[in-house]
Amino acid sequence: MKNKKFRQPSLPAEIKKNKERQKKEQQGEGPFLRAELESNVNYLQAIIGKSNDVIFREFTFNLVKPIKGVLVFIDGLTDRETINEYILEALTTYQVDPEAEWPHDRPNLAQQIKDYVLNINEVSLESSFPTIITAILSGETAVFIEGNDQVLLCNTRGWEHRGIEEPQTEAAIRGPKVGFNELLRSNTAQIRRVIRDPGLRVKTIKIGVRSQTDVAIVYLESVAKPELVAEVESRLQRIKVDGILESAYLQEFIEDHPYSLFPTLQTTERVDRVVAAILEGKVAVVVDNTPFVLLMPVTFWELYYAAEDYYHRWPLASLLRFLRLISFFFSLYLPALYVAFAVHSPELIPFNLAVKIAGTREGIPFPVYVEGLLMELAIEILREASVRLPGPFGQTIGIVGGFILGDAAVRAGLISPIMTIVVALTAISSFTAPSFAVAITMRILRFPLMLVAQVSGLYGLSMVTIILLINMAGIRSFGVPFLSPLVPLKLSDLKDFFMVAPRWAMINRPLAYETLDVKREGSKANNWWEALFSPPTKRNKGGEKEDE
Amino acid sequence: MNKELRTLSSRQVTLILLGFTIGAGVLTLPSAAARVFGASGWVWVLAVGLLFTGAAFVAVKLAQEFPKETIVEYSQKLLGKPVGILFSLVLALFFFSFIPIETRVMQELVNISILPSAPTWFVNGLFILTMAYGASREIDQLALVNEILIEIALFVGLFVSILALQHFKPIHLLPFLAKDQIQLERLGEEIGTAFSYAGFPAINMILPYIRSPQKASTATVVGTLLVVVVYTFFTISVLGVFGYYETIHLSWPGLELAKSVNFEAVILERLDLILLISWISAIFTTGVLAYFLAALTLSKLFGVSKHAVVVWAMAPLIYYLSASLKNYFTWNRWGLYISVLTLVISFVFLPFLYILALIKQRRQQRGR
Repeated sequence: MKNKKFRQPSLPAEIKKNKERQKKEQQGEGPFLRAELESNVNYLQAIIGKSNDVIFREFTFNLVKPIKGVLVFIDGLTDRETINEYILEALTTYQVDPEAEWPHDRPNLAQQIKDYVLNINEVSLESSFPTIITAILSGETAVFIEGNDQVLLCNTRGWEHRGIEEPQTEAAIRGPKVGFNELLRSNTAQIRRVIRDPGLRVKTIKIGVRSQTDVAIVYLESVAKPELVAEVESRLQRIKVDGILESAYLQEFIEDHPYSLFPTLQTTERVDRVVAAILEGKVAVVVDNTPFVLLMPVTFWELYYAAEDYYHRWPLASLLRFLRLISFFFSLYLPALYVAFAVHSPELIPFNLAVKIAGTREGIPFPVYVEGLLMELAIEILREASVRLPGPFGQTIGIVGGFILGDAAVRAGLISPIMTIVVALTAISSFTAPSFAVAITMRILRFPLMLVAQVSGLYGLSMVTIILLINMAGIRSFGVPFLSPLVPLKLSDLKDFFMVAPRWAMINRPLAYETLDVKREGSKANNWWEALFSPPTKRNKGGEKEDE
Repeated sequence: MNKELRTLSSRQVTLILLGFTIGAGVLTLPSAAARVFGASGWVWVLAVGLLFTGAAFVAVKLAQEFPKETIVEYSQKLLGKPVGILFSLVLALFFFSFIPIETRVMQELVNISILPSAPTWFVNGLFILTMAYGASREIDQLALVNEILIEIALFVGLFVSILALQHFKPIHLLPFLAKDQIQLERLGEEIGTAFSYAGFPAINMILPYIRSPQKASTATVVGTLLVVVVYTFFTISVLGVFGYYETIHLSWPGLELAKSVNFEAVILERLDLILLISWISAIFTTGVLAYFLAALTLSKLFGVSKHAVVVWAMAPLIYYLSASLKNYFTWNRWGLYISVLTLVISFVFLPFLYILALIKQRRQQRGR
């Protein structure tokens, strides 16, 4: 009984604080810090202290009297110089003004130190352990101070990363040569460097129970459809996984048609592409640790647009666009059409050509389908092999393998030369697709189409095409029909479809996206074809007259 | 994101009517017209077309009286439940009857041109499966497919017709309305062509899905008129190229027209192939929309929440019927039945319902 102590009555403010704390703890945000330094550090040590890269640095600094403190940070994720100079040195060498009153405010010392002592640009006060731990694990430094139930979180993030380089997968002849890298902040900064609009929003959320990856939703508030932004955010919030290593992880969770062969999101590592999309009213999702950014919504045709289309003058851009659409058709249908004509309907092609085909097929031991299949298979294997092999070998394998295999197969009489031409042309055509994802879809579809052509000729091909069309017509990417602007036809959007209209004639943002602000800035015309009749030089003169 | 019911634009409605109406019938229409009206057959095509446009106008007016309902629902309101159900069954039969005949014509076209030796079960089966896959989708998806297919079909058809005009001889269209060429007594035989025009009752089923129902009347009339223009232009081309006497004896005037075109220096030897592919899509749109509408009518009638169930349930029956149409004569008789049904629905049933609706409306106004 002699050890019995009477509990000191608590102050009203303290009671209130405790109640709030209990409430928060019930909501699952706790546990919270206590005022004793030792218990806090012990708790933290029990959770993350068993790893060698977590540094606990005890130190003492002198304000009015000596105070104990502990720095917690992770070696490698933090910038040592910042910690040494701006935290440790600032605290230990600080000269206190003897008349100042703030050093005597012990319970709120953390707040006072933040206000008076630390000269780090981003400091926050936190008292919930889970938040503190996440912050430490993402590279911030926690400063525990004795007698305080709040901790100072200083942004000392700094780690080794790749610089900004030219994007390897989407090269362009003309246009900015910068791509994204693996740093989220650097990526969002690159977007903001181009769009200096105050309405550019960067909303960051954390996804991944264990990886706690930062994911940023970037959009223009005055342009993007609010429902679209809300939908993207709610789909992202719903994701529950261990970790996000690449934006492809998110893609599989948020796309509209998970079983479809077609990708309903666009991925890119080009900054200009993302910026152009945001200006058109799309939403970009930037994921930490990967240079690949997701863009939504997307239409099928956009997967065949290259960023470069907008940097050339419109005649060339239109030609390139048209070439790419033709090569899309080739990459999907050419082998199947050849099989259909050669097997079922030789009478439909010109006589001389039919004779030529029949002549070269003389003595070939396989049916046309098998011949085509073998060659396609060889090409696919070559392609895969050249990707896996280290740089210079890859190219060699491609050239040597392609030449030797093709030539030898023709000489040995196993494959007809025309089939070699068809397969080579198809392979080259499929390389023109700017989006890797859609090129894969075409590669997958090509094989069943060849089989159908062998079995049922042009009739089967047209039926399968209709089935494909029905399937694609049902796809929506965040509410936007996949085949628009072709169907449902939007005349205004055709300016940027088979042809690329001159930039000054692109008056409207794509109507299919139902953006808030339909009109792009800068023109008085109502429609792009109206604008075509008044090129900018003429328009300016007209404007001057109006002013008079 | 959120699923809206009213999704069709009036442009899509026009194209749905075009896609549903233009199908197998147009391939044989010129010869039928020539049989009845001789060299001035196009006048007959035009006149009948205008008559049907009038009927289409009445049909859409009737539909607009009940902008939130399909004909299955309001026919029961107007006629009473038993008669209304019976009427809806007749309507479902009307939509349904298109499917086997389109399938059969498709098989014929495929067999005479692309795959001469393909077995019936394969051609019909693949076509019916494709149609069923399409018909089991929602109307907005179907409208998109229809839009793209019918545009291709019309574009290619127009292209071939214009190329064929190199053989066009205006003298073939003369004498204009010559008495000795007009054989009205053959009208009874050729009444089977009336089903070439019968697409507009579709509007009475799809009106609740249209974004702005008040614009539907323009869309319907424009759609029907476009059909008439296409038919008339096509008939004039065929008559002008072949002359009426030859046209009478052609079984597939459209294909003959394409074969007549000399279009060299292109990778294809025969132009009728292109036309045929475009016609496959035209026949497909008719078939798939008929399939969808028949399934929709039946599912509304029997309260089946998913019309796709009805679609797949109907597939074997369609296969059986299409296989039973063995030759030209049987399917011609089938066409005759549809035409009679078409005429009765377009000129008797729908106007009668419209009058009933008007009377009911007037009574309600008086009641107030």
